[in-house]
Amino acid sequence: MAADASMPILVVDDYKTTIRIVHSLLRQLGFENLDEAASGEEALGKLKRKPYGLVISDWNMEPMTGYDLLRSVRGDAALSRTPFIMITAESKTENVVAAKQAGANNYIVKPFNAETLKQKMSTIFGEF
Amino acid sequence: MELRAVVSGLAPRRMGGERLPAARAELVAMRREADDGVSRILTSAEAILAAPETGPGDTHNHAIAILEACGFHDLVGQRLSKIADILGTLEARLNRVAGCAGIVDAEEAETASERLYREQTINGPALNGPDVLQSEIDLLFR
Repeated sequence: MAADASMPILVVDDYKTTIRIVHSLLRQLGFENLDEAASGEEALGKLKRKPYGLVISDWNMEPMTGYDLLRSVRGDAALSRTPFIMITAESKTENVVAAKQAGANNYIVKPFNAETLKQKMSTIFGEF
Repeated sequence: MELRAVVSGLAPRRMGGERLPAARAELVAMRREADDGVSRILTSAEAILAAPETGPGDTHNHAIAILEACGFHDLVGQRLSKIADILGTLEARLNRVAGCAGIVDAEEAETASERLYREQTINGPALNGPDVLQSEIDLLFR
């Protein structure tokens, strides 16, 4: 799967500051088609309305967490192949394992930098 | 010491009714002020990134470093929320204790910092921004 600079990317976080940071870093990596959601529910609604090339989601949101969102995405035949990266402050091994088992393509612990984001995206899309 | 006196010494009415709510309000204000500050920093970094690279050629790298550093704020916010939740739980429990029949807050001696704050009518930053605008202060000094 190659990285398409025009692919829509959905960034999900209940913290507006984090969305701004991730969007700015993605723009620096050449991605301009960026969207956002402030909750798991909003993200799921957007995902059902249009296809996204990548979802980058926080875990710690209420009431629908990023983990719930991931499971919903993987459980929906129309969405199940959407690449999904978890970016979260949850850094316990059990969290990482649970996310991997639920189908996350990668997992980034906050705080993170542009290089880490690029590396994790490269594991999904190849070098870009 | 009898149990009632120990509980009274905890001053559950003052603690649950005044001090803990005040502490939680400070945390909320802290988060809001940090939000505002980080938002201004991000706006400037985004403006730098949106402009063409000039000078020695590493301006954009510095702006990206600023963006990355702003990530601290998310973690701080989550930690503040956890503390506020704990204080809220403590507050609810103390209020239940305060509601028990016959429990009266014990008199407390004023601490040194409480006395200083009272005597000089200082209370740190106001929760909802300055009580008096700088422009109003300037008018007083004209």
